[in-house]
Amino acid sequence: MLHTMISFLAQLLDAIQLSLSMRPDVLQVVEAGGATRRVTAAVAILGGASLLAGESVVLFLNQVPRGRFLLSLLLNGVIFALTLGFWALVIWWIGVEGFGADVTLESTIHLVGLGAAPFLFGFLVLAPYFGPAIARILWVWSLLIMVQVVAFSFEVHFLAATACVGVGWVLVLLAARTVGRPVVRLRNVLWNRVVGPTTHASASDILAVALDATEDAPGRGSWRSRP
Amino acid sequence: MIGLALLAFAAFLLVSSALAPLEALGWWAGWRGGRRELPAPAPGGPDPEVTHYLVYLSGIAAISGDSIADEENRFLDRLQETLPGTRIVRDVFPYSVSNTGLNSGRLFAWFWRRLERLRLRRPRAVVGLLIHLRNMFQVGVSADQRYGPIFNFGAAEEILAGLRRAGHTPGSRVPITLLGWSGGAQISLGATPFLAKALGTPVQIVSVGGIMTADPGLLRVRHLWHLYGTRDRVQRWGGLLFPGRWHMSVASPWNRAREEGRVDEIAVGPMEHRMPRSYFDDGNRLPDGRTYADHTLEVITRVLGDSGVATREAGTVD
Repeated sequence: MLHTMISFLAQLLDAIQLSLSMRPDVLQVVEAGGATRRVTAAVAILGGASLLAGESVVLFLNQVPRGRFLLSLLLNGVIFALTLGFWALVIWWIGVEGFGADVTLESTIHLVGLGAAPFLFGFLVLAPYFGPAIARILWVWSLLIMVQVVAFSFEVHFLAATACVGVGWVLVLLAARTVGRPVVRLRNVLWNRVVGPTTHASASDILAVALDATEDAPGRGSWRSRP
Repeated sequence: MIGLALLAFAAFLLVSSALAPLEALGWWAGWRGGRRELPAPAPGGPDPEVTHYLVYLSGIAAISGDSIADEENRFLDRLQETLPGTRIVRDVFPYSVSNTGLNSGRLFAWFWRRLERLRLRRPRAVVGLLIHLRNMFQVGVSADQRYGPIFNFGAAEEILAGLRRAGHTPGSRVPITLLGWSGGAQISLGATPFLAKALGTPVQIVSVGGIMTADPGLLRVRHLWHLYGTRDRVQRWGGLLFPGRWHMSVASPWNRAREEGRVDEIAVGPMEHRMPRSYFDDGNRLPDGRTYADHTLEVITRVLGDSGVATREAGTVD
């Protein structure tokens, strides 16, 4: 049992390292080591959880309790992994239909999962002032990995790979706003169940409301600690 | 080897900065620290002798509210003598939403205490910069619009508590000045909207070598005097690093406040940011024989006197 766990962790770290260093054949190396499905799922779920940790300000603002906070990280990891799965489906479809790629859907799902490796650093988005810039860097890094790996695995030109990944992402966004609405609604219901009701307001909005509510006589020095 | 060390240092910086907001966010979420009550107002109403309160917020070298550098304490003593109607509050630690100093009430308090002892023995020790780094990240938290208002709310609450401890009476509308050195200036700006609203009195700020963003607090501050030394490169970085302070950001709170004449930038002399040639240094002298601290004191006294909030002692130089 312990040996299996250590072996899995070693494979996971190898996969992350290869992906972050933008090795085009990362998928082939990971597949050669076995446990590809678990490794790619772990990268995607951990990446999603880390990204939410970085963007968790809204959870803190809405005073989500610790237990629900941790649960929400896990849930976001799973949602993120599922979104990547759908993205992979679209990339695979464009690759096969548009560019005649000879690749399986499962392999495409694995390569998209591995491309999410930069999001393991998603928690750094919390860093003051530079956090939003870090988020953008992570997205670009992830896209570059994905384009490179798609180009190698699909055996297509870099531009064709860019089209697969880019158009794929646009289609994912479009689907979320059209045919995928019931799925998005289900996701939101699940999210609200786990996290509790959130206002999704900014820090300034919440404080403005809090100050108005707690000051019974403005200007009289009245003050109540955080609501 | 050097490359690896630099990489490790960069990783340390990144992870530390990402962890920096957690103290304020955890406090807001109710994960740490219970609901606080402000100290009770002084019995007997406002002290008629006190016509002005000045809250001192130390620089990023501070380790707690009651442990600021000797030269700062000496400076504040002299400021108190020069402004007899002013009561100075100097026990607020601006880099914590709960006024918890680094050296007590924390999991790693032992570490910070060790650093403080080391810093007292060897003031130029590089590891002492860890305190600067930790507090600098808190300045970043205050300046970040994602969670800055949360931090600034907590800081304002601590300032209010400090005012109460010093005898401030709610509703007295006695003028308030925040004197922020270095990062203390940013915390002052961030806390200003909450203080102004809670106290119903205008708040003004004196920044001494302050590191500040174009914080929305500038829209609520009555006046900001930014005192800077011509050899203070650290405060100059503040102006370069934050785009809202660039001239081209015409609609930023900084430039709007300047446009409205509520910001004065005053070059006070050849001071540097850190000791031994800092604004509070009473060793080095200007060509006319006054010490750096003398001159900083005179400028602060003059601007506060001219603004009408503080009464200067008779015989003070104009």
